[in-house]
Amino acid sequence: MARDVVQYKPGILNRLHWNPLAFYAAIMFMFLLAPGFVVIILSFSSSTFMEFPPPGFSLQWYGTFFKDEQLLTALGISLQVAFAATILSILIGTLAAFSLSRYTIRGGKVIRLAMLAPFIVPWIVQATGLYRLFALLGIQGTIGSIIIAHTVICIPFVLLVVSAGLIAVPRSLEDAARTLGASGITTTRRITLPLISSSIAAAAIFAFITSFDEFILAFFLASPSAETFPIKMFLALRDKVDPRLTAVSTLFITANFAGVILFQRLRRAK
Amino acid sequence: MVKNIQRRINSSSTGNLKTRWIPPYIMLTPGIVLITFFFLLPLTLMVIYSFYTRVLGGSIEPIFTLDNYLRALTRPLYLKIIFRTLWLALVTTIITLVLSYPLSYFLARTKSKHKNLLVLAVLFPFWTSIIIRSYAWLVLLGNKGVVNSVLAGLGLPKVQLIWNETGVLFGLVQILLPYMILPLYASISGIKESIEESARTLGAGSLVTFMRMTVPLSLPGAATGALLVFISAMGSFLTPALLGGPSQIVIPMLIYEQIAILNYAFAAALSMILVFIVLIIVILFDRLVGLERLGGIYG
Repeated sequence: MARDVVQYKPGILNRLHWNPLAFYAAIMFMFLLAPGFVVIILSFSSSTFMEFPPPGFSLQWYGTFFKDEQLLTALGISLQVAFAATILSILIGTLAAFSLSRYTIRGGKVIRLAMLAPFIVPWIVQATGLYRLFALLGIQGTIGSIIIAHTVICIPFVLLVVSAGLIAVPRSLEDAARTLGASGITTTRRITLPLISSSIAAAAIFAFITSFDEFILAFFLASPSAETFPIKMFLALRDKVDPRLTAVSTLFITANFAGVILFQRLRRAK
Repeated sequence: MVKNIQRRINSSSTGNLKTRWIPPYIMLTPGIVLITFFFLLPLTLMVIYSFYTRVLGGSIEPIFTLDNYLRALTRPLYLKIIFRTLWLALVTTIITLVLSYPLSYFLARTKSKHKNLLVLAVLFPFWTSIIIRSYAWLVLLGNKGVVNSVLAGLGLPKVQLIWNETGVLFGLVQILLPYMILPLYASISGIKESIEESARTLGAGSLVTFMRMTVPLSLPGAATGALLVFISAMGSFLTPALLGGPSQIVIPMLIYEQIAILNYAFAAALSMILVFIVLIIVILFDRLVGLERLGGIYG
């Protein structure tokens, strides 16, 4: 059984409460986290070259980032897109999750599968299709077209997370409210929504980060005047290793970390 | 009054509330419209375009042809790219599976009070932008990168770690590891330790118990992880583009290239080939494991 595999061997390792499996796990965690740490450390480097360890401490890369108007504009566009896509996907996805898990609908399974499909069909394929569609509609290169594309790819996450939340709410609670005379709208507003609010919030964080980090759809759909932040980063990186990006990356890692912690809290609160 | 309550209980227990405040079909409409117009319609468009002819001068005409598919599937240059994409996805899947299994087992079985923190550490890279992580690998593995400067400091020769297959695999494996670890961890956590204990009580050695009980019971998790990693690897553009360079062109990079030179019909055919491969994998998964398992990982 497990204890044999995770057995404490006598000797020094035992006193450290270590065993081969934990040692392996530690190495894997280093592999998973090392790139992030290296970027964070280098963001405070005084050197223009990617020397490691850095020769000295400096905040210069943070300074140049906040002075670069192009990067700041792109950051603004990315935030705009992520906010819009999050709100749209939460509204549409939550309504869909409600009707699909609370009512028996003819063709419900097929509809659910179609709404989950954007998760499985590679985003590059969706980008290729939307690129043509938006050209035919004459709205290529607009921020709106990126928002639509991001809403589509966020729908599966929202549907999955909110449906899971809804399944966890016992139907008897809603039935009890209805039996006691509450109307449908009151039951939903006072009973169901509060109970799934943490799921909705978790889905929203997930959607926001997905949209904010998404590259390929934005890359295909954006015009030079509406480039999102990941596009700017990609273009900067394709040509050379740009030390300013270490500062940007550190800010993102910090923001994402806050997002993950929040997500975990909400999941546990569920 | 009693009748009224009775009626309400009856109607709600059949799952069809008579007094719905919004009919379910209306709640579904925005989703159906969105998916139809901005997911199914573009896919249909691409199917159509993939059979269009590109005439001299570069414009695409609605004349039926199989040329786009034949071109992709017969020219050695394109075949090589298709096989490279499949190969990278396959190797990435195998490496992540081998690396993840012991770690997931450790996470599922550890009695550490920091367990939640450890799971969070797995999730963390999952939430860090792929560009940033690819960039970090450039910093680590590049010719003037961390690894090479450490080697130079030790008086050892330089090694080429980016702009080749090694670089792409490093990036893909690290980026996709959480997709494998999470379903495996969930799957192994679901195996009761008592099952392993009873096998041991009945005289099975720890290796036999592991191979005959734990591994088979965790297969659905491994399959879910493999599906996610394989599909994501097949569709990845950034990692091969940033870490592999021109020598590591994969289908997504080729699609982008074809759109850049305005050969949309060929790009559409390539996209369809990519979808076809993914579809086969998904159908296989559905037969063997069941698609509904995919839902579990984010719930």
